[in-house]
Amino acid sequence: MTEFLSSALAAILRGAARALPAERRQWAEAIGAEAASAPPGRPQAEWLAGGLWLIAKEANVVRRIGYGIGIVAVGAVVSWVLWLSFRAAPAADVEATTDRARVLVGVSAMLVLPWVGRRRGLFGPVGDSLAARLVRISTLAALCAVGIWLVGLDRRSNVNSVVGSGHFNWLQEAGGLALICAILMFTVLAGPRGVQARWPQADPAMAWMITAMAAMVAFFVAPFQTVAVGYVAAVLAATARRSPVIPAALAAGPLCGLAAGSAIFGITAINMSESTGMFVALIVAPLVTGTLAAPAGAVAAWRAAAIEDPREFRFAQDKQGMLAGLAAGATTGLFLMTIASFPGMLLMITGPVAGLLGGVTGATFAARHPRAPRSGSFQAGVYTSSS
Amino acid sequence: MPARIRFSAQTFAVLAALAGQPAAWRHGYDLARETGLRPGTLYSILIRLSDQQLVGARWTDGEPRRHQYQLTPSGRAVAAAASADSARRAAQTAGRHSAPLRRIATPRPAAGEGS
Repeated sequence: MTEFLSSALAAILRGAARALPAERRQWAEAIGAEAASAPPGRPQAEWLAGGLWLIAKEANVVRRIGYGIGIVAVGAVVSWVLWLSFRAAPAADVEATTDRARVLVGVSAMLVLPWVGRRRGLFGPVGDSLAARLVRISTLAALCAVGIWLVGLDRRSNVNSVVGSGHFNWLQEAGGLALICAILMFTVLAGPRGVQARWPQADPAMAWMITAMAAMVAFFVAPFQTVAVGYVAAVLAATARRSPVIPAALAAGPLCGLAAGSAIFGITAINMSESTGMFVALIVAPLVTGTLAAPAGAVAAWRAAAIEDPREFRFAQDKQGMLAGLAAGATTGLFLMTIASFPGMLLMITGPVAGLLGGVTGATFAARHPRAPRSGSFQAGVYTSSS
Repeated sequence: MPARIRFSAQTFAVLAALAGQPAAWRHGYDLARETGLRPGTLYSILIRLSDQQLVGARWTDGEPRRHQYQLTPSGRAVAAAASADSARRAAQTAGRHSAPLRRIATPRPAAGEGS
């Protein structure tokens, strides 16, 4: 039976090698040739299966399938959003044209995202860790879901009430879009790195302050769009290969954020008065977010790469804890917004702040309670053992 | 001076195995047995090292044909530097966590070779 399996695997290996670029095929052939050295039976079958795994990795088979599914899913979502925008809104709805214009801008932005996300630089390509890929895909999918939800509001709004996007105004739409694009371009091209490259003596903090002030103006003009663009930029930067965020922070932050979001969703599900609801949204929800972001900060700080200088190491721990907390808070807000829960939009803004504070608290705890060294581990390629 | 001297534990194990017999051309199966790495991991590392021209590869002439590997001169220099760097770091780690004293063994024993 194992001989048949080995023969079958060898044949599949020979065939699958064609999926590799010509200059890589010799490596698949090498594994096939070496299989004869492995003892017949299970070891030989395992060796050949390892060869297939190598081909899958080198030919990026999993990634190709993932991207294929992703492209189909994005296409389906875009089509659905367009259909919702053009079909679901009654003809007399004063918001319809505004929504359509914004949906078209959003769709155009989505078409640019894969290019931005794969281009080498601040936003791409995506990091090698599974956490980076999962966070990037799920956050962008969640933002798409929020966009669909907002467009879907037309179905429930009063036809002539102007509670949402309002009457269509070219000047307002074009101005808002130009402002958001300008801020994004400023952040990417003329942020601290750009300023330092051109004016080495300039204070990077000043560039950040100008960016923050411009973002504040944009927020008052187009709040949701500004927050959405900020989230997209943040998630692309955090999950890029050059990102300072370690995979542990990228994994712990969103997990704790989801836990906080679930807890807040449970609290808001209780029937409460308007004033109690506001108290929950303004006080309880940020408190829950900050509290549950603390473990993420601690985990990220514990996993921060060791540095010889204790002060530098502590700074690195605080930084990773802060980033994990930010990720947790942002995840909480986005999760609640995605499931259309009441404090979602508010927490998309207050959540990262609360998460940041919680993350720093967690990092402080981690610095005061360092983890005991493991009994054995690989360090810089050397296996160390305490036994 | 090579630009990069720090590698993953697995890559370091492959470099160490090749550096152990610098004049010999080694087969993939031998390297897998010595390092305890699975072929998917081992060949992935060999591909990267070959791309960086740290490892040379060739096919044997006879039958059955086999693919063989040897460190290039720059690969030997990098392996030596990585070994020195890891020893220095291990000493520092042992200094930071002085009790209990750490025993440093490299590379990790291959699976199935007893403890």
